[in-house]
Amino acid sequence: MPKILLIEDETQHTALVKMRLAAQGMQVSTAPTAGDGVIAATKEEPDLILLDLLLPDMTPEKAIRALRAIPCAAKTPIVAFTALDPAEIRRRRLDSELAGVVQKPYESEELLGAIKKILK
Amino acid sequence: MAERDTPIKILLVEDNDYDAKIVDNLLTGMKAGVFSLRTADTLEKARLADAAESADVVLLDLNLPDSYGPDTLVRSKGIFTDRPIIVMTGFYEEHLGVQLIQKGAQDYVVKGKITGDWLSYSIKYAIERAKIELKMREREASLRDMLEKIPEGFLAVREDNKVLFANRGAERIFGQERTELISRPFMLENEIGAALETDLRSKDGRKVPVEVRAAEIQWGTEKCRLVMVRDLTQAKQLERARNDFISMVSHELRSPLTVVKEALDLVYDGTAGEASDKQKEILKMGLDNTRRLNRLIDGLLDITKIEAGVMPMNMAETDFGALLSATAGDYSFLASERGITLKTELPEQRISGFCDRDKLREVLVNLASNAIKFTPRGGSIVFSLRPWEDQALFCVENTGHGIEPEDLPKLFSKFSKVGSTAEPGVEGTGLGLAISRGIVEMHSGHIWAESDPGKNCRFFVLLPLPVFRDAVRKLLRREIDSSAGGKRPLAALLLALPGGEDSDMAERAAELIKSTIRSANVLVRDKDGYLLALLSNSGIKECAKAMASIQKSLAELTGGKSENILISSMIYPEDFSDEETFFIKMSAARGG
Repeated sequence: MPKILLIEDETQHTALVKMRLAAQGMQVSTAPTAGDGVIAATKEEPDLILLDLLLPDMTPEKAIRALRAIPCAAKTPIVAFTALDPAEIRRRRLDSELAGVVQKPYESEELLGAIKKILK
Repeated sequence: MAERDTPIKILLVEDNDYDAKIVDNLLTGMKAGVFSLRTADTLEKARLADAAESADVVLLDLNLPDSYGPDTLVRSKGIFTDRPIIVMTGFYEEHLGVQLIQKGAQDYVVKGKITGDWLSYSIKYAIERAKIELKMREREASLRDMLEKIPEGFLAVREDNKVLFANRGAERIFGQERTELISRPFMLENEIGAALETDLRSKDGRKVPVEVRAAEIQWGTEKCRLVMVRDLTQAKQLERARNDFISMVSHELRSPLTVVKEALDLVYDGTAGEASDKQKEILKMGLDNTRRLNRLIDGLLDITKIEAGVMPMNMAETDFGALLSATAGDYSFLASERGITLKTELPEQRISGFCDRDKLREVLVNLASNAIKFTPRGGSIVFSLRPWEDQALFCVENTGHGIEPEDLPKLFSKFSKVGSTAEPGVEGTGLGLAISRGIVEMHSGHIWAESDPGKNCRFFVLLPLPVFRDAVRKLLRREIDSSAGGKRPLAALLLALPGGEDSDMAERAAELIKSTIRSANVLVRDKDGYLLALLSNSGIKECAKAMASIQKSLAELTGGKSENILISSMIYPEDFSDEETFFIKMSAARGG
C-alpha cells in the first residue's frame, strides 16, 4: 500500500484528499504545517509527498529545503498542490525540485494521474 | 533689420543739459517717427520714468548726481532689466570700454565724437543684440528649469569621473546635496547607450532601485558623459503589487473553490456513497459552475499577465485562412442547431504570418461564440479574411440587434456589460473581448467593432504579417526588458529539428517544452524546424537543467535520435547584449 504524506493547512481540503486517496487504496498521513510535515516525513518515510505550496509557517522554497534535509526524504518525489499561478511558480524557480504540480482547483484525474505516474 | 511700426523709445540718463541737447539734436536729424526721446538727470528719475513707460533702450552717462562710475552701469542693469544700455562718456578710454561691455553694456560711445547715423545704428543694433541675448538667456533658463524639474537624475561626468553638474533629481535620488555630489568622484560605471538596473544606497541607508543610462555629450569645453538616473522605486512597487495581486487572486479564490469542487465531486462520482441520478444532476450544476468560476479566475490572471507583458507566447508561421475555417467549422453544428446560416469567405491567396496560434484561435473562438450568442434564429454569420495593405484583416459579421454606437468603445473593457441581450442559455465570463484585445495587441494588431444598430455588427481584427526575425526581435526585446537589466538572466535555446511542411516535430517539441519547462516564456519555430526557446529568469544552472530535461523528452519523441538536436544555448547578458548581437550569434549557430 503506497504511503502518501499530505502537507496542507486547509483542513477541509485535507479531509477530502484523504477520502479520495483512501478510496484508491493509498495510505495517507497528514500534517497541517511544514514543520509538522518534516516530523511526519521522518516518522512515516512516505513514498510520495503532496505539498501545498502556501503553508503558514514556511515559504515553499524553505519547506522544500527542510524536507530535502531529512535523509529519508532527500529523494522522495514531491508533488505540489498549488493555487499559485504557473507564472508565479516560475518566478520563484520552484520547478526543478518538484516531480509534479497539481493546479488548484483540479479534476480528480489530474491528481490521481500525477500520483500514479510517479508511483507506477 | 526689420523696420518698426512704433518709434524706438529712448531714455537718456544725463545730468549735463548741454550733452543732453547734443544727443537730442543728433536724433532730431534722423527720420521723424523713428525715435522718441525722454531725458532724466538722475538714476532715480530714470527709474521712475521707466516705470511710467518702459524704454526700449537706455543711453547712460556714468557720472550722475546720485551714482558715479562703472557702478552706475551695474545699478542700471538691475533697473532696466533685459533692455540694452549704451554707455556715453565724455572721452574715450579703451580699457574702460572693454570693462563696460563685459559688465553688460551693449555699446560704448563718446559724446563729442558720435554722429547721428552712428548713434542711430548703435541703438538699433543694440536693441537687436539685446533681443538675441534675452532669447538665449530665456532658452538657457528653460533648459535649466527643465533639467531641474525632471524627476530623473542628470549628471555631467568628466572622463576622470569628476562631476561637473548634478540636477535636483540627482540630489533626491542619491540623497546628497549637489555640493557633495560634485566633491566626490562618480563611481557608477556603465556603458554608453546601455541601460543598467542596479540598487543605490542613499545616504540615509535606503535602498533605491535605479535604471542608469549614459550618453556622450560636450559640456562646455569638456568631453563628458551625461548620466541619467531613473528612480524605479515606484515602478518596483507597482510590479510587487501586481505580483501580490496575482498571488492573492490565485490563492484566496482558488483554495476555497478547490474545496467546493472536491466536495461536490466526491459525492458526484460515488466515492462518498452512491448518489441518485437526480442528486447527480444537481451536483453537476455545482461542478460546472466551479469550473466556470475557475475560468473566470484564469481570465482575470490572463488579463493581468497581458497588461504586465509577461504572457507566455508560442509563435509559429500560421495559415490564417486555415485557422479561420477551422474555427468556423467548430461552430457549424451549433449554428445549424440554432437555425443560423454560417458562411466563410477566404482569399484566393494564402495569407500567413507568425503568431501564437492558440491565442489567435482564442480570439476567433471568442468572436465566433459572441456572434452565435447574439444572432437570432434565422440570422446569419459570415467569417471572412482578406489582405489589407500587407496585413491580414479578419471579420466576423452577424445579423441581430447590433450594438449602439456609444457602446462600441466600451466593448473591449473588462466586464463590459454591453449587449446583455444575448440569446438565453449561453454564459461567458465578461472578459473575452478584453482578453482578445490583449492578445491582438500582443501581436501588434488592432481589434475593433462596427455596427448598424438593429441590423448587424462586425468585429474586425487587423494583424501584421511578421516573418520569423520580426517575431523573434519583438519578443526578445520584451524578455530583455523584463530581465531587470540582466539581474534575472535570460536563456535562449536554439534547437534544429527535422523541418519541412509535413514534419510536426518542431510543433511537438514546442508543446513539450511549453508543458515541462515553465520558464519557457517564449517559443518561436519556423518551417525549417528551428525552434527558439527563451527561458526567463534562467542562468547557466537553470539553462543546463532545462537542456537536460529537453534532451530527455526529445529522445522519447524521436525514438532515441536526439543527440544532434540541441545546437546552442546563449545567456543574456553574458553571451548577447541586444537583438543585434543575438541575431549575429544565432546565425552563426544555425550556420555551424
